[in-house]
Amino acid sequence: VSERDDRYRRKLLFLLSSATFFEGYDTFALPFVLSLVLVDLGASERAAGVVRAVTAIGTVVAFFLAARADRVGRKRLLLVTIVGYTIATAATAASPGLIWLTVAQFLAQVFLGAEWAVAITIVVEEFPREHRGRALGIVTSMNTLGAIFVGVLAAIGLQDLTSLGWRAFFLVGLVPLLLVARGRRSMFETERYEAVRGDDRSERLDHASLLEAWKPAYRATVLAVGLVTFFRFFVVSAGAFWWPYFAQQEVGMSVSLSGLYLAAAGLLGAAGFLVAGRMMDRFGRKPVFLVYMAGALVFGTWTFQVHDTGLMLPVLCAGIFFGLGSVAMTSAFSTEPFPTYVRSRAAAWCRNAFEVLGGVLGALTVGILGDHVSGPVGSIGDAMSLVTIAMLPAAMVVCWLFVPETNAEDMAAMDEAVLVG
Amino acid sequence: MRRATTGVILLLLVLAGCASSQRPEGLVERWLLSLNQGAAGTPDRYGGQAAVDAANAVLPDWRTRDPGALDRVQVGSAAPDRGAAVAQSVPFRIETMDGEVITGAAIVHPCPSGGGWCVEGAGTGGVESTSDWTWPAGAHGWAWVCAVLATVVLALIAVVIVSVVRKTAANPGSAAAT
Repeated sequence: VSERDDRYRRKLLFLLSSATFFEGYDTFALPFVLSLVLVDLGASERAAGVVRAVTAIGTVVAFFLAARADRVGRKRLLLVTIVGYTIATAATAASPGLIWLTVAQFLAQVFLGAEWAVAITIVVEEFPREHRGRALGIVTSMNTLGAIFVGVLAAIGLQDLTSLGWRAFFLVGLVPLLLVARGRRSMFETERYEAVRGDDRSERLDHASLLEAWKPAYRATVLAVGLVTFFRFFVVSAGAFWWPYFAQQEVGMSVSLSGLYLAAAGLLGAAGFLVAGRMMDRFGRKPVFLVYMAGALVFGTWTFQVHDTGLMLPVLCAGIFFGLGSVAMTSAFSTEPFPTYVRSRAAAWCRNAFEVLGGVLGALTVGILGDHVSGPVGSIGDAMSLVTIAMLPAAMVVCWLFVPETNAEDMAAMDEAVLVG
Repeated sequence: MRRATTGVILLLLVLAGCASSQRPEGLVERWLLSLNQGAAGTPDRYGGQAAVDAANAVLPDWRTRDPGALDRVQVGSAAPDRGAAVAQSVPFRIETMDGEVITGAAIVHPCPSGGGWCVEGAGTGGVESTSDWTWPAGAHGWAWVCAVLATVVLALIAVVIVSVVRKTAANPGSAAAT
């Protein structure tokens, strides 16, 4: 236990941050180089849509892998997912055709989805409660920085620097393997997991069933947190997906200017994660989440009503600050209220089931409502604002009424209560 | 639960009632965006050979341009085409990555098959949009009221569901009894 000092936690934070960094990197790498991939592999836009759909399913399938962390341990699953992702991204870079690329990207999303869930669980279990929020803020912010890094590499012309073209973007994804090679020997299993699995009384607990998170003691919390993450991600995912289209087709911004705005706003908006992390340690998870949701409601709605390119940047920054930054709190909601033996499965339900579903339905709903030819609203900007108004207050109400405050939660005491009871 | 289901059905009916007929501006926008795909572009989907001929009139080299060569594609509000009974004129503005600006208008008419609008022809030059090239369609005032009602309905449904689950979880025997 004495080996788990501040120095160890800093090293751990670096390893976990690199995992979430590449989750953001890989999610945006394929869309960025898609046009090059289609030309190189001789595929159509329709085929690209199929690739997108199949890889999105990978995030849902990740649920089954993420839930395994309660059985095989956090450390082992983290290392498995990092190695699995690295192999999948290497396979993507070597793709001879579109089917190969689709399968490789599907597997990459499975491993990345599980990697994110287990990384959040490790933060919650390894950091003292007065620093948990800050650590969650740092680890979750890396996701956005990874996405921005793709844009930076594209801007400096990585695709043209070597004869590898678009494949070079996926070779960058091999970096995590080097980190694992360095970090795997010095990384420990989490203290809480070891304590629970080493206790004879945990034999009677179910460490394997996916439905354990739905037993009466946890099901109301899983449902409440799941609904909050569903409503929130319904809006955030749709906003992230549709903003470039809105900026280019409805505001009249050029492709290059909208890309520049998104990178700048993403970089400034990433501060939202870090501020959220510090604030939630000080004021509690729920009050900070409600403030962030109120900010996302105002600035998210406003962002999609702005038609002045000068005003767009500050409003977009504020929208990203509050909208994306709130994931630090939902990460805490989906892990902290649950005892160690079932924590990964509860988090997997909240994230890989509810949140991913919200992400898929959000982008779809805005597309149907705002379709320029036949949509009932006929404007992506107005459809996005309407969806924001419809969804975020519902997330706030459910959080306010049903999600437990876990700022002062003592994990050891919670586990002891389960072992005794 | 029955009330929640009724609320969702009512919401869907309201949304279905909001559905409008096809917008000529949207069709012209898609037709122009199809010219931004290089050789993979399919302008014929928006009016057959007439739409391809119109594309050649606007961007003669659209097949040989790189995908993404058009930096901006904007359309203005549709207006009746010089007193014609059914045809509409849709102004457009294209800006290429090289900084070249092309303005013009596309003429659309109802498709013979009855499935919306088809591009009939297009010309360049001498066109000004009255909408400052921002997208001309948008939500009606009552749509914002619908959004506020939707959040109330969604919040109520969520509160009812979580409350019921909470109650049955606290008292599993009652759930089994019901």
